[in-house]
Amino acid sequence: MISVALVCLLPCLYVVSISITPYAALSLEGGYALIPKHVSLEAYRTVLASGEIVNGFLVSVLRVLVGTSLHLAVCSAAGYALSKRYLPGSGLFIKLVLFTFLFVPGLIPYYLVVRSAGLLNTFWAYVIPSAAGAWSIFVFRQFFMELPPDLEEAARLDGATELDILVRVILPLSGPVYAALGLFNAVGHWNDYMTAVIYVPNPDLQPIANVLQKVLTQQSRVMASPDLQLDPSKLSISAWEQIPSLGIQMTVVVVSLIPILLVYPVLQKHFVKGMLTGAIKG
Amino acid sequence: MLKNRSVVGKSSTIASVPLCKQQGTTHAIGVILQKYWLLYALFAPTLALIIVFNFLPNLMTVPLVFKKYYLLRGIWDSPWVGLANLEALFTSPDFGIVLRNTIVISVYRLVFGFFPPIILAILTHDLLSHRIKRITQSVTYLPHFLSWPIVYGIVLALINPANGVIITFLRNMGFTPENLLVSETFFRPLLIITAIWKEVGWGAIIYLAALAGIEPELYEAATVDGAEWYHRIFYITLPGIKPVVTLLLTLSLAGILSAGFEQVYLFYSPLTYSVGDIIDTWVYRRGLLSADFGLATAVGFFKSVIGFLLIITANKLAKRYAGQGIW
Repeated sequence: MISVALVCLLPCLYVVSISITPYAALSLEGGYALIPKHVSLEAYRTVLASGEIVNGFLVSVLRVLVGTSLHLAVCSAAGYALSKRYLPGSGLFIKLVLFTFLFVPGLIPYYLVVRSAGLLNTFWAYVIPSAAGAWSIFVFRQFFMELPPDLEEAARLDGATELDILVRVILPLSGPVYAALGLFNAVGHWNDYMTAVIYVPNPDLQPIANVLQKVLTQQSRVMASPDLQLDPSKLSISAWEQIPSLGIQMTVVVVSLIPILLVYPVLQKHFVKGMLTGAIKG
Repeated sequence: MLKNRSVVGKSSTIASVPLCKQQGTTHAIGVILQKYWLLYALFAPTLALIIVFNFLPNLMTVPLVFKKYYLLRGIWDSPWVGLANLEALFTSPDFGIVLRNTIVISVYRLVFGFFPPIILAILTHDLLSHRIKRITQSVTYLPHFLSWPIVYGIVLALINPANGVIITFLRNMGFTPENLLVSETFFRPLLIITAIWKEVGWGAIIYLAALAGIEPELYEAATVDGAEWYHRIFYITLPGIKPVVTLLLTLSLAGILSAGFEQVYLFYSPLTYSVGDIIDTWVYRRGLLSADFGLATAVGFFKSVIGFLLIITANKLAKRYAGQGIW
């Protein structure tokens, strides 16, 4: 069927383009062929030896671990608290959370607040501002509200305290929601590069996405400069030396890709489930 | 003991607390706090975060818009300038360009990007083999999980002027392609094509779920009646997913002023500002890089107000035409 062929074109496009180019990194300059004649992994050696890349990975991994745990903890706590209709003030609280969903602050005031909070240029800028998310809170709330109330009542009859109920009854049942939302959040953290661009200029705190971004855009920014457009010979040697070669660039791309590719097959199902939970139940 | 006479789940809990005098109210609040301390404690971090990172910036927006903000003086000591910022905003030549770009790009995204996931979902749904279906799905929504820098890297590999795969191919065919990375004419299409490629698989998931909800008996009955595949699509499939489609369409309208900051920031360059600079990137440059806080906040404020109106309208429209909204 034609439709099947069309649908399969998409994957082939990117698989081919990435896998070939980095491996062809050290083929002779003359244009990269789709299938390389010579293969060398030297670019990989250079890239992996670079402290920047390793550091980038560390930062990203740390960010995912800390950021996601914090986000889940904060949002599930709020979701649980708000799922109890009998809690005085819960109506107001829900409206407050909804407010944050509707009224997203502008970049400038937000930046100024982050600055005043002392988070600028620190690791915490990655994890604290995004710890509370209205969407996650509502999904958790929905989930907790749908748990059968008998469980809680039975536990109360047995003399359990609120804390007991939370830890022993509710949490063990919440695996799926935590997993789904946690995955979303983790992927978001891993792929996010704007936060570092705006709030964290410190070169030691760059996540891998930013390292990649820097490596890739240097070239186009230089190429776009008016001088170069008119007369390439005007460009100083030092500027040329700063542009990573395409080979290096592509190697960094592949290196950034690998974690996602490794994790993806394993977690696919959960991604989809998570997406559907949020969307359909609203 | 209260524990054994559980009154959980009944709103009469509050009524059972004594409120006989003025002092009783404070006492009542104390009792409530004590009884539900855990729940309040659980909500406290969120409350603090909301206040600091949402209410505070929102409140600051007003003085920032109407004052000329000097970083060193802080907000209180900066002078009021009334509508000067807003005036500068609406008369700025950049603003017209930026607003136009934002809307044009958003509309392009909507018009070209809305239908591919639907088409993909319908195609996939009809695929016979369950295995092919799953493989196709996994492969098509993989790009959604790539960060934009990675996507940009792929774009570079394909069309960078020195040795991009596609460029080399075109050259070998005898064409002399221009530098597509900084080309004004190609910028918006590039943006849209890559965005579609990235999101089509993921977007299809929702539609596939909706398609799965259509009873197969309808299809069988139609085939028995002699319907061709295109009949089936028009008369069964499309009407079957109409609610989801309408809902998502109306909601997309609400996001029309956000044309994809992350992507544009990565793809654009000074040479393509005239076609690619959107509200968010302009605010970023003028506001943060040039420290023109008043102007940038005014723009942000303008965007938030319009965005708010749009989402309220979109929700109402969604409820009316699709039967449900986001809330």
